[in-house]
Amino acid sequence: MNKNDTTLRIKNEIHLYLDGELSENAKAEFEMRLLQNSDLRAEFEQIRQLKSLVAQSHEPLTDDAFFTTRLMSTIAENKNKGFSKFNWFRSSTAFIALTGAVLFFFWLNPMFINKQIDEHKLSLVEFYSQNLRPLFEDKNLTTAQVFDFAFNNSIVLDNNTQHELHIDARDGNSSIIEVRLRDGSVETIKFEDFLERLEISSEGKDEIDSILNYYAPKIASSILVNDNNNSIAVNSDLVSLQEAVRAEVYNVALAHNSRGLQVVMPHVPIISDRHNIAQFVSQVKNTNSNKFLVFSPDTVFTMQLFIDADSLSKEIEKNWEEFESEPNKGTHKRKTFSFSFKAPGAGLHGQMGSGEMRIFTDSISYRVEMPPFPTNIVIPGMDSIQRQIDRAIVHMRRIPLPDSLAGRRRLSTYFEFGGSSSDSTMTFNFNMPQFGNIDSLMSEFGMRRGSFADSIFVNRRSQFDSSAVFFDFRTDSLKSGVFFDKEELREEMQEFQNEIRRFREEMMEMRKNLQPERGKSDSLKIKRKKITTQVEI
Amino acid sequence: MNDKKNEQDVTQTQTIFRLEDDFSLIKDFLEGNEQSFVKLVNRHKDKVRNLIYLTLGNNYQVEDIAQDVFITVYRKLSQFNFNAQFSTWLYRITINKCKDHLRRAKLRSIFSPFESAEDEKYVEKHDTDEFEVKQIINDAIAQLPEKLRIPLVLRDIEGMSYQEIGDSLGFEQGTVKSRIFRAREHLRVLLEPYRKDLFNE
Repeated sequence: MNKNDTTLRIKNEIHLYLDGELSENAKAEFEMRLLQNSDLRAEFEQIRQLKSLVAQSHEPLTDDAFFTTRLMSTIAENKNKGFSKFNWFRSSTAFIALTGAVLFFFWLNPMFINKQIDEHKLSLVEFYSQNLRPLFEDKNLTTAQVFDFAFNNSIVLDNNTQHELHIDARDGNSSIIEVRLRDGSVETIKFEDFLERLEISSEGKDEIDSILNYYAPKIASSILVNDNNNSIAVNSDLVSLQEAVRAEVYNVALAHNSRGLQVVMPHVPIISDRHNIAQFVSQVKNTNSNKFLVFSPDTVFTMQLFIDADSLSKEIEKNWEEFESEPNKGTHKRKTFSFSFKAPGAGLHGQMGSGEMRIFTDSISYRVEMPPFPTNIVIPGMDSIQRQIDRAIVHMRRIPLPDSLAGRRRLSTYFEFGGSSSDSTMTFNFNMPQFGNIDSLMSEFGMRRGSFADSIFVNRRSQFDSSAVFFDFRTDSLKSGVFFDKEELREEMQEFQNEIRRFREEMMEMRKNLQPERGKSDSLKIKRKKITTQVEI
Repeated sequence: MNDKKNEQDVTQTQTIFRLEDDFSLIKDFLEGNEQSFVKLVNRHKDKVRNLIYLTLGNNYQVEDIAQDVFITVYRKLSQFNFNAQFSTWLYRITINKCKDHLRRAKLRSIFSPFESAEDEKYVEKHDTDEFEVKQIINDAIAQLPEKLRIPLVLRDIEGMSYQEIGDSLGFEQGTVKSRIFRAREHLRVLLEPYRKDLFNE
């Protein structure tokens, strides 16, 4: 029996003794122990006092002289009403009758519940879709904002709350529309940088500007808000608009600096099929969907808003011009827009396009996934640099780990760089608390500060496991060189490869150091457990 | 009764006499004598009322619940099993009635959460200012969870044995024991701020 059990048993004995629940023998034994042990006496005294405090705390109720008289008269009254037969019989009869009545009611009105639900849905839709107005009705959507929408997948909805609309026309197998809090950690590509890196001439810039300006009112007419009720209605066409903007901008870039574009975006040749692009773009331009996704504080639902998108976008454009010509007018008169709407029966989780859409929510975002716009061309996003790096390091993705480091549970025998081409970072999960920061990791493995590795490793603590340390390998930041030229990239890759080789050698060294101690003691087991490496793909 | 018999024997004889007495009253009642029931009520009513008071932690509903208990006893006495003591059976009914009441009160409190929270706050503050030992102990007991409070008061105030408590609550003795210990530990924690004033160390 360990010490804790003994203490607990003795403590329990105090209670049993004071409650008079110990046998004569146990009682004598306990009294003997009490004499010998001063700690036990102190504890005993406390519980004894507590017990007597509890006993004294209660003041008995005063006598109720008429209790019995009242009771007997109640009994007599109830007896006259046949109360002795009350029991289960009457209550079960009532229950059966009630159930029968309810069943009969539903038999007469089989659609009652569905009707109630539909009514509720309709009132919800009415509530959230009243007073909708375009988000950008009076503030001009700039070319930089349209560029952000197309290439950084984001439109800021509210600068104060940092809410943004995240649109990704092709995130894996689905298109995404999401209302969420802005993620400041994601590196973005600025419009000016894009033009500069591709060395686009001023004519080219004008051309791109005109494209972006053309799409601005279309985008503006696809995002409607209701300030009072915090609802946002987004036209499902927005995802295809995004692809169309991308395609057109690529097209211009390709015409002006095809070599530059190919360095930055090796996949662009796929879109050089100009006929298909033109077809796709005109298809998008002529589509006029009235399907809106409405994000409200309660729910996300689809509905049809009957608006003439073309005339709305023209109206918005006119608004912008008016506002620009009279910017000092102060209180710009707000126009009222009225749309008629129709809530399709299914409403909340309905069909969108050809397939089912899926809705995800958490505390900071509402996310809707739906099938992508059907087209036979692929318009790449800005993730191709990532793919280039993927290719460069593919042969060193898996680094076997020495047996001594490979773990027993949950642990892997190799070290793998993960991350798909759409992620901005690759992560390797590195459960090595002794390297609490980048400096200690790098000095341990002989890496230089200020090198390529310095700018691409970012460490963070795990929020779930305080002993785990993660090192993120960032591959998609401007800082670490999104727009390398080929030579520079090759050199950096070489450097990085060398560092990884040195790192691997160090790991082998550690393995040698650990081997003689294997199996010696328990403390070593703990040590080994700490150094094991977990891999996250 | 023999005068030379020691005290223990006297107690035992009295208990036996009492047992028979309860039983014979019940038998009398079942044979149609209502007066026997009145006697039975008079004998046990104070115990029942106090038990309700202790179990609820207040005296607002004591009389109503006590009446309800005896009405149930009146209706169900024909089902009484003469193998057990009448008092154990009676206490079991009493505690079940109290539990029903507490459950209903909890349900009702869902619909008026703000009001009751305010009330409690007020009472608590008022009492702390007054600093009266009994009140402090009562408040602390009232804060114990129901499943700990009831066994504790049955033991320390009513003076029931573990066996009797177990029978009344429908628990094993082991459960009773551990709940009483836990209740006291819990109480000690609650009384910690008043430790110097309440305990002589």
